[in-house]
Formats: sequence, structure tokens, C-alpha cells
Amino acid sequence: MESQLGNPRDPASVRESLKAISTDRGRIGERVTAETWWAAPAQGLGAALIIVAPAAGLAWAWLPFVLSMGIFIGVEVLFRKRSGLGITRPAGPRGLWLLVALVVIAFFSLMISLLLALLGLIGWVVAVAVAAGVATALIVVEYDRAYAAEVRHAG
Amino acid sequence: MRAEPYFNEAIHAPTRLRLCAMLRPLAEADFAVIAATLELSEANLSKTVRNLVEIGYLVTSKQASPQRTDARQTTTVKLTAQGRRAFDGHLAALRSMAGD
Repeated sequence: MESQLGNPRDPASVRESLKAISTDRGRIGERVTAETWWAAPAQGLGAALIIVAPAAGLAWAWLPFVLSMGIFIGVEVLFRKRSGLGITRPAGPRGLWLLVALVVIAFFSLMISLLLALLGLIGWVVAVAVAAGVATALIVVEYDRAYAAEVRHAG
Repeated sequence: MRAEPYFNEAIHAPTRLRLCAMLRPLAEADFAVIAATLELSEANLSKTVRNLVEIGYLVTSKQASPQRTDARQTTTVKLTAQGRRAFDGHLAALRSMAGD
């Protein structure tokens, strides 16, 4: 057992421990946001590829979908390797809401894209995909910032 | 769900507490990254990890790593469910003692 100077239950000592935890968690946040510059645009591209898939027609829709899955899996694997951290959930409510927003945007963008493709409006499908891709990249940037802030006080 | 405050002597020592606190929001972390983040020597961290593994609060796994030039493997560390419960209770106790 490590030695502990003073009374560990003393409020000043307890506050010191909590401060140390917050400082260490702050370093985790820095490590996460350091990877945002490449992960956010890559995930934006991955989202755009899924949304644009209906424009490729029935015969080729699988191609952007497979490329997109490759990007998402690649980002996950590369992030894990570069950061040395395995992160599977948001650190707090703001991160959770951003994740929900991401899923909602992706779902409705895909529905709109499918409808536009059925109507033959391919240019608009591409426009929706680009907008969804940019929105995804921005939300990922914000998610990483939220993670960095919320992880300091996470349970 | 909030954990019941419980001051846990087994994890209150500074290095043990900081290690558990770092791992709590993560699924897992590489040994070298933990040492760098907590600014601990590998020997000190290794001893702390071993102690927490012995009481069932941590598990470790080893994988071959293409990033390493030697034959050593990368060690990954994570909290067990028991470790998470113990840390949550201890953190709740600390926060209550600090008046948070």
C-alpha cells in the first residue's frame, strides 16, 4: 500500500485528490482533441458518402457505402492506435446530445437523399450529402471539445 | 445512477486513485499512454497495476504491436465492473467530503 501523508479524509487532502483527477482527465481531453483535425473531416467524408449513395443507382450504391464503412472503421482503428485510448461512450450529457444530433441528421439526410434520387434530382442529392458531411465534421469537432470538457467531471 | 458514497482505502492512495480515475471514462488505455498521462515511471505504474489486478479492480491484456521495433508487446489496461463500482463509490465519498 502506498504511503499517504496526512489524513486522507481531511477536506483539503480530498480537494487535492479531486484536483489531481481533474488535471489528469484534462490531459485525456487534450489527447482526444489533438486527433480532431484529421478525424472530423474523415468522418464528414464518411457520412457524405453514405448520403450520396442513392445517387449512384441501385447497381453501384454499395460502393460509396462500403467506402464509408471503411473510413469509419479506419478512423476508429487509427484513433485507437494514435491516442492509445479506447473510448466507446460520451463523457457527459452534451456529448450524448451531439451524438443523437449526428444520428438524426444522418437519418433524415439519407431519407431526403433517397427521395431526391427517386425523383432523379442527382445534383440535389450531392448537395444534401455535402451539407450532411460538413455538418457531421462540425459536430465531431464539437463532440471532441465537449468530451474534453465533460471528461474532467465524469463519474 | 449515482453511486453510494463509500470511502475505499484500497484505492485512495494517490497513484491508485489517479489510475482508476483515468480509466473510469475509458473502455481501456495503453500502459505507455497511462504512464505518460499520469507522469509516472513504468516501474511505479507497473506495481500499482499489479496491485489493483490482484484485488480484482483492473484487468490487463497484451497484444503484439507493429509500432514497436522490439519483440515486446503493448499492454492494455482497463477497469473491471468491480473496479468501476469501487471507484464510483469512492469518488462519491470524496465529493461528499469536499462538499461538492
